Parts: sequence; structure tokens; C-alpha cells
Amino acid sequence: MDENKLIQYARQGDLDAFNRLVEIHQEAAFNVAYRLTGDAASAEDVTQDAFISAYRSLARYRGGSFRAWLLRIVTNAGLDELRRRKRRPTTALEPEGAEGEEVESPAWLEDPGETPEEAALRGELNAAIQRCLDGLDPDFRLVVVLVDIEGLDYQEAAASARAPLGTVKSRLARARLRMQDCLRGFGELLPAGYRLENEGSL
Amino acid sequence: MAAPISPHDLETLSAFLDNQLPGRERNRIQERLLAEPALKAALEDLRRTRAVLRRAPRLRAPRTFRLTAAMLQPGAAPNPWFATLRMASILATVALAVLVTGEVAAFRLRSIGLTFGAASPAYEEPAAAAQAPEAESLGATDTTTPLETGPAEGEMTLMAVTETPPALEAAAPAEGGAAADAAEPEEDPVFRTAEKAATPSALRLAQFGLAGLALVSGLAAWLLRRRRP
Repeated sequence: MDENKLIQYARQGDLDAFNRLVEIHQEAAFNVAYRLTGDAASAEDVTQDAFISAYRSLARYRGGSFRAWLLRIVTNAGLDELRRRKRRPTTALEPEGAEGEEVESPAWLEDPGETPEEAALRGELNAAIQRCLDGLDPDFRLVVVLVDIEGLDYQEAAASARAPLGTVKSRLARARLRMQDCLRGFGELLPAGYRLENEGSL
Repeated sequence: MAAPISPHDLETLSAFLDNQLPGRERNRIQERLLAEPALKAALEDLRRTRAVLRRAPRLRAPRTFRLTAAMLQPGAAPNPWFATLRMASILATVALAVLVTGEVAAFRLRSIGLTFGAASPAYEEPAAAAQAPEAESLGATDTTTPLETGPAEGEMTLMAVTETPPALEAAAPAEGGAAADAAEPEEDPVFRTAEKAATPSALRLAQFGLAGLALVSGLAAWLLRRRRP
């Protein structure tokens, strides 16, 4: 069944149809929430809250990209979480194992098809990117996450971020520059061919 | 180290990288890229940064986020009466505020009218003074042009409001005697409207009604909200 039909049924109160939409979009939603909050536990809460909110707000969906509409709800919830955290800073940023030790490659980051070396490299790359993202202002972080990590086009990103197209362009350019400066600090951790030399041109 | 590029060039390069530049601007930046090595190097840096970000590991959802009926249960959905009562309370409060403000404004207008009445020969704004003869002549010849007769009508309204107390006094004996008929003000719709608006009992009734509605509906909405688990 195509997405529009599912949306139509969901709007009539069909929870199963909505749950099909959840299955289609939950990975993107969780990724955006995780990249925004930098914390898996918060990202889970944000994602779940966003889906509940989306179900209740379906009547307000006016067509267009459902993904962009949904991610707008996720980003709102994520930004709310960041604001809440700013008021009451508490959470640890690194995932922990059963005995409280830091886990380099948590379950949601594991890929069963890769070697331990590849897994380690992937974990390091993930940590480097997340560390640099965390250093950006939320509005800038959001645009990088939506465009460069989630692959939304500028229009969708503008709809999700509730910002004009020109603002998205400008924020993205500046955020990329800051990410570039930050990622240079990780040098060897980045995969060969993606290392950003310290003696860059900027 | 190459010269730094401007924020505008950075933005243009970033949009160029994503193929988001309109044709003419795209051609212009392509020409500049051929001529300016620093710009080309900056573009290359941006391209590599974007490539790294695109390689950011895709995280699997740690669990399903499917909704269950329990998640949508109460607590959850607000009582439908809550929104209605809250809106009724808000609207009643706004209407009450408008009525009270209107009454105060009318009172002040009446006071100003009294002042005008007392000092009418002397009081004239320069602009009004310039227009007064014109307005008077228009009032005499053509009373159907609302824009042009505006000031004159305004003056009439003020005077009518000002004269309300004597007119009301005159209204009582008017039923009984011919002498009172002579004191009756001329039939003026504006005068009648002002007289009606000044009726205090209807206004008070409306104000009390709105205040009651605002209080009761607000209280009911608050109680409904408190009852939610």
C-alpha cells in the first residue's frame, strides 16, 4: 500500500496504518533525534514522543513530503529536549554497558556484516562526527543533519527546520565550514580519502 | 596558506556543491573556479567534508516505535469539553474587556464633548479651522457625502452626546406638554444611537453576563484539567 493511502487510513483513526508509517520512517526519525541530542536514550524518548504527537496531529498534515512533516515534529521534540537539558544538565553522552562501562560500539551501531577493524573504524568515525555536531549551535546542527546525513533536499530541510530556503543555505554553508575545522582535529581517525588535511586552504 | 574566502562565496560554493544554484550563478562560479585556485581548494574541502558526513554511520532503530492503544490513552487525549470551555472563557473575557474599554472611551468622549461645548467658539484646530467653512457649506448643501462631511458629523455627534442630559430631562415632560415639545432636540439618528449606547442597564447586564460566563467556563475548564490523570 502506498504512503498516501496509509496516511489517509491513519487520519481516519487506523492505528495499524499509522504503525506501517512508523516502520517506514522510524530509522530516519531516530537518526535525526540521535544526531540532534547526541544521546541514544534521549533520542528514543524523542522519537517515541514525536510519533505519538504526529498521530495526534495528523489532521493538520496538509500534504507535501510526509517525511519532511514528520521530521519537523522530531526536530521540534529534539530541540525541546536540548532546551530542557540546558535548563537541567544531567545526562552522560557515552552509551554504557550493563556494568556501567562505556561502550564504544553499542548495539544500534553494530553492523553484523563487518570485521572488528571496520566496526572500530566506524565507531570512531561516528564518535568524531557526533563530537563535532555537538559543538554546533542546534539550528546549524539541524541543517547539517537533515541535508548531509539524512540526505534531504533543501526544500525538505527548509520545511523540516521551519526556516526559509535562504536561511537553510546559509546555515548549511557555515555549519559545513565549522564541521570541516572540527573534523580536521580527528585526522587519522577519518577513513582514508576522507581525511581533511590540517594545511587546508581556508 | 590561501586567502580566506568570503562568507558569500562560501555559501555559493556550498550551494554549487549541492547543485542548488540557478543557471547564471552556476556559470559565474564555474568561471571563477577556473581562474581562482583558492576558491577551487575551498570547494574541494567542502566536498570532502560533505563526503565524511555522508559516511556517518546509519544507526538502526534500537527498537520499534510502533504505537499501541495504551500510548494514546488518556491522560493523553484531553477532554473535548476542555478546549470549548477554555475558548468560551477566553472569548467572554475579551468581549468583556471590549465592553468596558468602550464604556470608558464613551465616558471620556462625553467629557471631551462637554469641554468642546463650553469652548466651542474658541476651540478650533488649525486644520479644522481651515476646513470648517468648507464643511459647513457642504453640510448645508450636500449632506450625503460622508467623507467630506466627516468632521461636521463628528462635531454633531459630540454635541449630541454633550446635550444628552438636558435632552433626557426634556424627554419626560415631553409626553405631557407642548412646551416640552419645543425643547425636544431635532430628530437625529446619531443622537438616538448615542442615547441608546448610554443606556446603563443593558450594558451592565451584558458585562455581568460576560464576567459570569468567563468565570464559570474558566473554572469548569480548570476542574476538567485537574481531573485528568
